[in-house]
This record gives sequence, C-alpha cells and structure tokens, in this order.
Amino acid sequence: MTDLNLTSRDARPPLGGWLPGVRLTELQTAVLNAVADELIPGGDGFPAPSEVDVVSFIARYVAPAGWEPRWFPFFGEDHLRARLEGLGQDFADATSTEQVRVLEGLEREDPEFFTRLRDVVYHAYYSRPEVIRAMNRLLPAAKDYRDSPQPYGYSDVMDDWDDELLARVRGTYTRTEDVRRAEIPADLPHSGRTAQAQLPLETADPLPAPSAG
Amino acid sequence: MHHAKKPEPVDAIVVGLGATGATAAKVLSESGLKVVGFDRGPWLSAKDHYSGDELKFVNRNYLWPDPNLFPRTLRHDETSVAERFPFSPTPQLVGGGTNHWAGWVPRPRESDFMVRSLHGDIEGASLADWPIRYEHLEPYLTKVEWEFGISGIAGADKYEPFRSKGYPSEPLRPTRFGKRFYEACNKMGINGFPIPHAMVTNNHKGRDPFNTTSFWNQYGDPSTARSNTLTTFIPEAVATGNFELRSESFVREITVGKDGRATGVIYIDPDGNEVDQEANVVVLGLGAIESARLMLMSTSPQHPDGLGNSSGMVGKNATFHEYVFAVGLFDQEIDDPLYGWVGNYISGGTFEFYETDENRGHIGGCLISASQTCHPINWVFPGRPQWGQSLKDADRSYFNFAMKIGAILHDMPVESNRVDLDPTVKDAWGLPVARITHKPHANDVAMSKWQVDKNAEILQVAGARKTIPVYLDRMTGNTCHQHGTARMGTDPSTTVLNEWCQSHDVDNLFVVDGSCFPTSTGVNPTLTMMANAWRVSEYIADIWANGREERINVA
Repeated sequence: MTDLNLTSRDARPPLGGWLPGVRLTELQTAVLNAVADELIPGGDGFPAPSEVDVVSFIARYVAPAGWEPRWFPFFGEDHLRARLEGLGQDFADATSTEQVRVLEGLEREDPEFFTRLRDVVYHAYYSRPEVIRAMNRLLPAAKDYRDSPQPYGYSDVMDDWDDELLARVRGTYTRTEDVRRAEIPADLPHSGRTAQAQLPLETADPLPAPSAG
Repeated sequence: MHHAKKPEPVDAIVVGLGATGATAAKVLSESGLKVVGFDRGPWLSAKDHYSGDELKFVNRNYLWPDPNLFPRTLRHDETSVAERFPFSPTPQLVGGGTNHWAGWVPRPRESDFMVRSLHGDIEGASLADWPIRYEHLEPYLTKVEWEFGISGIAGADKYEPFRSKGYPSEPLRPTRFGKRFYEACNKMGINGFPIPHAMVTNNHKGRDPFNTTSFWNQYGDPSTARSNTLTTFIPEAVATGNFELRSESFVREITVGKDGRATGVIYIDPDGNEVDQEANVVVLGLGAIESARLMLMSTSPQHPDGLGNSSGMVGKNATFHEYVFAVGLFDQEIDDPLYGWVGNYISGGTFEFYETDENRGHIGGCLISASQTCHPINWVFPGRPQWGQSLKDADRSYFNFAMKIGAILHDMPVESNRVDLDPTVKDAWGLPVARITHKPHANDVAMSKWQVDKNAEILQVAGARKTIPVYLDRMTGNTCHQHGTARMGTDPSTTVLNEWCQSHDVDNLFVVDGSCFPTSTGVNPTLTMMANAWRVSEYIADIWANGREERINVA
C-alpha cells in the first residue's frame, strides 16, 4: 500500500534557486524588464527594476526545463519563455500607456499567471541592494532596513519602558467567579458567507502561513 | 517494499516532536523510561539553517509542509467535495511549531475550563467543561515557563489567575506599535500589558539572547533567544541517554495486539523502509489534525472505526482559532513611524474583553494584541493596490505607518466541525489525507464582528487615520492552533480521552497535543498544551508505568 519513491528530503526547494539560472534570450529579457518596470515604476530616487537586474534573480528561481515548478514562484522555464515570447517585441517597444493596458488585460484574463509574475518581480526588486539603499536613504523610518537582519536585528525599532506606559488601570473585566450565564440573543448573525459583504477586497495575510501562534 | 530489521522494543514511543511531543520526550526520558521519538520532518540545526531570509522561509516553505506531498482538503458544508487547501499548516520538523512561532504564551483563565457550567447549552454548539481545572494545570504552567524560558511581568496582567511564581526573564522593550497600543489602552481604561513571550532576555539556562528584534513569526531563530523545543527540550531529552530521536520517519499506523491494546507503531524510515517499533505505551503529539488522522487510519478488527474511537468522536468538535484583526493606517507626514515591518511580534495585549458580557451579544471572548503588519517584502494591508504606480505610492505612504490589533478567535466547538479521512485525496505515501469540514458557529461570527470593531476603536484612539476591519468569513486555518479532535472528559461514550489524556478504549495510548481540549480557549494554546503534556507525561511515568491509576474529580 505504501509507494515510496520519495522521502521527505525531496520536500525542500533548492536554496538560493538553481545555479546557473535559466538564460533568457534578448527578447525575453527585454519583455520581462518592460513588465517589471510597469509593475513597480521607478522614480523619486528609486531605480527602475530594469536598472537593477531583476532578470538574473528571477532566472535563478525559475524551475529549469525538466523540473516541476513546485515552489515559489511556480514558474517553469518553458512556460515562462513562451509567455514572454507571447508578449513579444511589440510589447517591449510599446509606450508605457499601452504596456499598462496589456498588463491590465493579462490581470483580468489570467490572474494566476499575472499574480505570480507580480510576486516574483516584487521579490526580486526589493531584494536588490540598490533598492535597499534607496529605502535607507529616502524613507525616514527605513534607515535601518536590511535584507539580512539576523543575527543583529534592528536598532531603531524599540523603545524603553517608562512609568506612563504600563497600565495601572483595572478595567471593566469580569472575573471568572463573577461570570453569569448569559442568554444568547436570537438574532445572532448567520454564519458563513453573509459576513463577507463587510470584507474589503483583499483580506488577511495572503500567505498560507499563520499570523499568530 | 523493503523491511528493515526490527529494532528493540522500548518503554515509550512519542510521535511528533513539536511543542507537546518534545515535552513528553523530555519528561518521560528524564524519569528513566526508554523513549523513541519520531518526527516526519528533519532534525535541523538552528544555528546553521535559520536566518531572516524572507524568500526561504515565507515564500518557499522552508519550514512548512509541501502541500503537494502532504495535502489537506477543506470544505465548508456537508455536501461539497472538499478541495485541496493548506489548512492550518504547521512546520513538519523536529521542534514543530516552536520553530516558526511568534511565541505568545499567555496563561489560560479559570473560565476556560468550565465553559459549559458557565453558559449552559447553546444551540448548535457542543460546549463542555474540561475534566480538570486551572488549579490542576498551574504547577505545570510554572514549570514550562521556567524550564522552557518565558519572558513577562508577573502582575502586569491584572486579570491573571493565581500564579505560584513570576517569570524567569524580563519582557522585551516595547515596540513602537506596542507603545501606541499601551497609550490607547491607558486612555480607554483598558488593562494593556506585555504579552508573555517564549523567549529569554537574560542568560537563563545558559542561553544567549543577543538579538531581541527582527523576524520572528514564520522564520527559524538562529540564536538561542526564542524558546524552541528543538534547542531546549530535545537536547535535554537526548542528554538523559534514554531518548533516541528518529527524524524523517513517518508513522503511518499504531499497531494493536489481540487484546486491543497498542503494541507500537509502523513507520517509514528515511530510506523508505517500513519498520515496526514496539513499545509499552504510545504517546501522540502530532497536532490535533494529524493525531486524529493517525488514529482514524489505525483500524483493526478490534477497532474498526479507528483506534480509540468507540465513541465515534475522534476528529469531531475541531476548533481552530481563526486570526481576525483590524488594521490601522497612520499618516507619514504627521505621525511617528511604527516599524510594523520588522517582525518581532511581541507587543501589548489585553484580557479586557475575555469574559462573557451579555451586552455584547455573544458568549466568551478572546485575547487581543497589537502586532506588526507583515514581512518587509510580503507586506500587505487590506485594499492595497495590486501593482503599478498606485502600489508604489501606497507602499511609500504606509510601509512604516501601519499596525494591526488582532484577536485569537475563541471559536465554539460544533460536533460537525471535524477532521476525517478524505475519501479520494492521498498523500505522497498513498495514505488518505485529513479532510476538514467546518462551518463557523453564529457565536464565532458575532464575536469576530464585535471584537474587530473594538480593535478598530482602540486603533482610532491610538491615532490611526484610517482603520480597516477584517472579520471572520470562513474558517481558513490561518493559525497553527488546532484543538478538540480527541476531547477529554469523563464519559467514554461522548469523549475520547480521560482526564489524563489517556484513551478510554486503549489504556496505553495517550494524546498530549491540543486534540484533548474540550473547548478552544481564547488564548494562544501552546503554553496550555505544553503544561498539559508535562502533567500527563508525569502521570505516565510516575503512576501509570507503576501499574497504578488515579482519578481527578472536579465535580
């Protein structure tokens, strides 16, 4: 009954991506750069993604042909090449307004692909040293930001205790011995989807992992 | 199929070496029993493998089960076909959830043990009292706080029940967003206090707390500051000479003899061999989803519906603590930065709204607390634009100017909310995966609405210019908190375990994780689970292993 061609060792992605990374063609590189530059526009002291070589980062994390893309960013080499070719030279040469329109179409028609592309561009961009330096320089509260905070941590992020801070108040809490049986109101909201009307478009942390714990 | 040589029988097997399994391994081996512990994941070195690498830990599942190899399925009603969904994933490796956790370890309240006597029956829920009370757990809460390493200020939580000893470590200094929370609480007459945190800030037990900021939740800690059973209880168990750890070993069945008692387990070793290990007692600590799954998979002529399942209650009354919250956005032109992106979940919390107040329109309540907004690159807030110039503008405005106040939803037990075996989906070993069926009780929805609105109100007093509520919609399993699937109680026809977390049906089977919780409580459960695992393990070693038994009568 047990068919074991794999062990739990197979459950780990290659750290640092695959080396060497996939070599994209000139056209594919141009298209990817153009996409990235529209997803995260440079300016106000921040470089454009194409200026900081997001392509090399992405190329390392694309699963090479023959490998199943089982981990973030969930891109296989052949698929990504084909999609970039599909956008083609026309896209690379288009004006910014036209590129945005094409990307909006892609977002509507193939949200899964679009989201993966956006996520990996975002990750590539914000892990580039030039971008981190721009954040340090330009964002008042990111002076201390580093992409590798361990083992030293951050110096600006905590404060000292003072007498004002710790609560001296005893609020309105009911101690357990004072809790009384409560009648449950008849008009409790129905469970399930009715609550969703109040939800904003994007809800909790988008990651499968927990927030507290 | 290979069959390896059968290893020597031992006194005790512990399956799952996370928070509770490692506690059992430590207590049992320190008492002199010969123990073998299994974990399906690897035995990593924190120093060598852990860091603040966001891509590795957050995006590439370094600590998390690969959903392709270890799927779970989820459905929201009885008639739908459950779909694959990474519901309540918990790190699968030695140390379990204590590898990644934020480490909030507040104590439970006295009311958590007597929800039914306080409230009676409510429609659609299966409220129950615990067969133990706070006083039975108190000595073990103290033991865990001191042995495992917890920081906090005794007495700062004005509503805490009796404690026999303070904390071994001072709390961390307040975060910037924590300060906002404390200030708002003081204005509103709410008792805010630093939530006890599973990390040490002094040289407790020779540990080195050199980093007190930066990434906590979802990452492994390369230092010894954060309390992780991988770096505390596991080495202590190994040091006894009585404990053998077999990692990357997947236990697929608990075996039974003709008399129906457990004889040991069958596991698959790292090389793919199927191995029998015999023992006098089997202790489960896989977490409430996987412990229930293993019991349900362990069928035999003596136990046709799964091991320890004569009541039919294994897997039922599952509760999961959905994390709900309100986000506050501040103004970078006017307000001080909040540093909500640095990780470091420690901050202020309060039990102000924990107990039932009928004016609120729901029973029970939860611990609430201030927290970060997310990781630096994967950060998000509700309504954040998806891409392009508007995204860049939003990020520049709010990256340092957002915080949350969240709640651990004290969800009500409902019998039909359950874990069972999926009829079609299999894991990489060809075994049926855990299927979760869950529909929130109306009280859960009402509590979420009331509490999230209250959290938004606190954020407003803290100075937030805009607040965004995120209520409970459906249970998505966005915490690792799992409970209730093998309830403890006195009646063998309606509960799975007795007050010692011992199977009513199989006297040498114990379940020490959150499965035993009759109700979910409104606090992060790990401290309670570990204290309970310690209590049960001490009973196994000192009483049960000597052929005696004791009863607790709380009536």
